[in-house]
Amino acid sequence: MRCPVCFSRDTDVLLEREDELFYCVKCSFTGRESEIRSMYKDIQKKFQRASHRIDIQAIEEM
Amino acid sequence: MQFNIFHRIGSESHLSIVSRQQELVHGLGMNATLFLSYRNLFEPEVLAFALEQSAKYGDEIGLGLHDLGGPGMEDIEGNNPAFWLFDFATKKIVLERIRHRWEELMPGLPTSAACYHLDSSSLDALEEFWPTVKTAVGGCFEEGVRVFHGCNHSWHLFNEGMPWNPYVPSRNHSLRPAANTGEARDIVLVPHLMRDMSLAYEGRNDFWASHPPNVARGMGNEATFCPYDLNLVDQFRWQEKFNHGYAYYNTFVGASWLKWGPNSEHPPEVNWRLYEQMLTYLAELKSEGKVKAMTLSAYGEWHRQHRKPSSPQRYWAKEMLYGSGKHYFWYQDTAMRCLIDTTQGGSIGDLRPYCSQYPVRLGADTPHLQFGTYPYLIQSQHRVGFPNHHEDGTRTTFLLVCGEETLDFATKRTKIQRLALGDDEDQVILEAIPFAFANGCQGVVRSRIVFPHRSGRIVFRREIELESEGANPLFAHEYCKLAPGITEYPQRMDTVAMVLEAERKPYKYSGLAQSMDTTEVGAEFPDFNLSVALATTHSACRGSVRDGNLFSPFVTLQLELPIQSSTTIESWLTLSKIPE
Repeated sequence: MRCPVCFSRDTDVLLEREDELFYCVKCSFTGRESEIRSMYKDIQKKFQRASHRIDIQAIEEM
Repeated sequence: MQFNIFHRIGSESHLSIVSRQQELVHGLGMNATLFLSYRNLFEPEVLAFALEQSAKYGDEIGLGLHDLGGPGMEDIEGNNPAFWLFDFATKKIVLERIRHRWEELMPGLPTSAACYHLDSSSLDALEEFWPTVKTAVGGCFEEGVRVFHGCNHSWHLFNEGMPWNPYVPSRNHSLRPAANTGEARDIVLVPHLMRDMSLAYEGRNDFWASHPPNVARGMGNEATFCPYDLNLVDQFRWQEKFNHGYAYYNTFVGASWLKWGPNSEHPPEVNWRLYEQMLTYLAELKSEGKVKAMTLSAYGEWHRQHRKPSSPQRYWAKEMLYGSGKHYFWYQDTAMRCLIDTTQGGSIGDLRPYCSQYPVRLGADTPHLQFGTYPYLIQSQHRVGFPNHHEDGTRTTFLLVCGEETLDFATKRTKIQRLALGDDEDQVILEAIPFAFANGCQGVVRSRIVFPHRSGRIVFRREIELESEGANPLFAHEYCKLAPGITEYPQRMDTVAMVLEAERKPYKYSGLAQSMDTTEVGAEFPDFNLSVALATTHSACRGSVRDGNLFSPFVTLQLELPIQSSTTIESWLTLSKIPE
């Protein structure tokens, strides 16, 4: 699992784990896996066309 | 579109994964180029597999030059996986040892090689010890500052400024295409992956590339659903329209990306499925005659026969993942590489002056150490660009000034209306930008940016249509703010000279402008062999030059022209080499 806070700044930092809690050594983030995955979903919201097929015809029209 | 598939075995423990990758490619009716590392030459099962793949399917076996560890390398390798960063003497020892082992085991020397970066000294050493290598994966388009940050400041690969398409490199800088046959090397270099030509400029281009597991690393997928992988293929195919039917694509997914790893929060089957979907789409295109899949050496041969080294390359990029619809235009010839950012009114966002022929060799025995990037003159992401915080930085823009009010056209979003591509020049025609001043002066500006081929010149043609005049006189300004650089940090500027009416003015970090009636202003950057001029033919022109200060260390060149009625004005930025 990567730190969702550092990843939101485009930096890959692997989280350390203590029991059920993950923590980041680069920033102050701590959280459980479900919270981290929820934050990943928030990060992905910026990719508003990620689920769209954009073929050559669609590219022409952009 | 020409297409290459690359595989590498990495370690023997990855053999089952590579075997599955190969099966996938063959099942789709295509071939791969399989790169063997030095360590693989001590792994009999790996060698037998590679030779069988070559004999049975016609796959190519190439030389892999990343991760150089293995028996007999302990005394020199020093845990440096990056071949290009050894000093020149060590590069030669490494290549000699690999060749010695290769000749003991393999039926012949390879004709291709792969590395994340091959600098000039790497290519010199390759020519000496592996003269059969005529095509290579030689660089990672725009990998540098952003990927360094993104990999926790640990990925010391500074490879910005190269062409995005395959090219024949010059002798003194491997990322610069050769200007003529005299300085051309006898090798074709292809980029390591094809990068998203919008997002490669804006951010981490390792995520946004022809590498489905990396797209998943960037979280551009929804589990096994990732149309972006196919969208990127199609955007590269679309470039055929602007390059006389030519487009190129490759993919290079190492086995470690198809198992549990630190760069994905998905199980390995997700990355497998994404990889399979992308290759299946390319195989469909192949069956429709829209893609030609081949080995790397076969591509190299095709390139030598069909591509002129002097041909300009164009890429009309449209941003597809965020949905901004931004347009960018990339132009590259033997004199420069230039990016036009239409979201900033057609400003230059990145400019690499190839005509300066700046030399770079890497390694601890050189002053450049690990900085292989071809220097920029403008890089608006690294060096400020538009003023969002303090003062602006490297960029160009067009300004209209009326009374106390200034309109900066970098604040005006536009798009490319069309491209006019010719035998001697290319024109980028932007959609018209309306403007209005508070005093009632208003109208429309239609801009064309013209690239006369191989001239080192960028022409800005502004058609200004005045719909109503204000109470104050109107002035147009062509504006360039420059600073040569390699990374995001400033270089020393005290060797720079500014040129005003042929008089050289030293750079004093004064921040003060000097101006006079003149049709040409300029700057010289002797540390980068580069001279720059901004000029116009309009005689009623006032030119100015300004050095920066240590808080804003740039050079500003500006031309001011009075506008009395609807008119077209033309000015141009010319890059040239300062003779050594």
